[in-house]
Amino acid sequence: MIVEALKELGITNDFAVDADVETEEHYKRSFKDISGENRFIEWPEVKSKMDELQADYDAKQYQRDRKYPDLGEQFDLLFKDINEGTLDKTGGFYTAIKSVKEAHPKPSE
Amino acid sequence: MSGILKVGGSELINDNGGSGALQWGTGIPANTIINQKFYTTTSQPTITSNNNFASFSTPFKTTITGTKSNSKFLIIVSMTVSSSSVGDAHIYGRLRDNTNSNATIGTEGSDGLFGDWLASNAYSGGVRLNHTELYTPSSHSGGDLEIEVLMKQNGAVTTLLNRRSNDNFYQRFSSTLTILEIAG
Repeated sequence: MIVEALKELGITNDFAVDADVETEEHYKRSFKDISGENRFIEWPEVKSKMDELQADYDAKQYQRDRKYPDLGEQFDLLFKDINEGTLDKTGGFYTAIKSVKEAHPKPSE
Repeated sequence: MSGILKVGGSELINDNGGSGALQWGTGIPANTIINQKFYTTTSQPTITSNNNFASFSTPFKTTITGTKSNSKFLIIVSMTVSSSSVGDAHIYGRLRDNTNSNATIGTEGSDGLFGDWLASNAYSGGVRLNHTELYTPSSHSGGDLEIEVLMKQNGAVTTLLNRRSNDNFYQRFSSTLTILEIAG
């Protein structure tokens, strides 16, 4: 998450940093400004951005957990619903998608 | 009591002037493996370097000690990398001799030494990147020899060692760097 945090804070030139940084000491030890053109961002600002990105990542966990049927299967379900006149909330397509969403609801739902 | 083991006039082993520590002599048959260094790491350094070979934040390197001046070195790289890129990103590798004037090892083409590898954050795992190189230093006085892996990307993306990008909870790997010293 620290790489993304640094990029969002404007570190756009070449740099290196350990991906598992969790402390100021580790950050200062591992951050290398390869290009020599980046400004050094102090740890509190970096940590704050990391926490913000982590919170956003965690909030979208439900999206990553939702494993929908593959597209071929979804099209097949749609075809069957159309063919059988069940392209509504009783059909296979709707039921399949709804079951995935219900298994992994959006936190605010 | 000091001693030297010779065969047909060639000194195979001596005890370092009586210290008791056995070491290879000057008459070792060529192409004999006489020394090794195995380095493994699960650290998770990164490089964000657009078309410029650079060190990882925690350098991926190792040092073989007690080498001889006329040896060859078989370097075996096995590393797991990924990229911050959602699509395929091209990544390239270089081996550097940090002991002898930061010499670039091997003959590089337009794709560096390791070739053109594709990595992505979208893959279900990291890419296992392998390369083996037989290195004969143009000048080496013996003793320590430090070898380092450098990497670069084609584009402003990040290469990660031993983990996937943007993912704190799973898919962690290990990488190894092995050096075998071979008598010249």
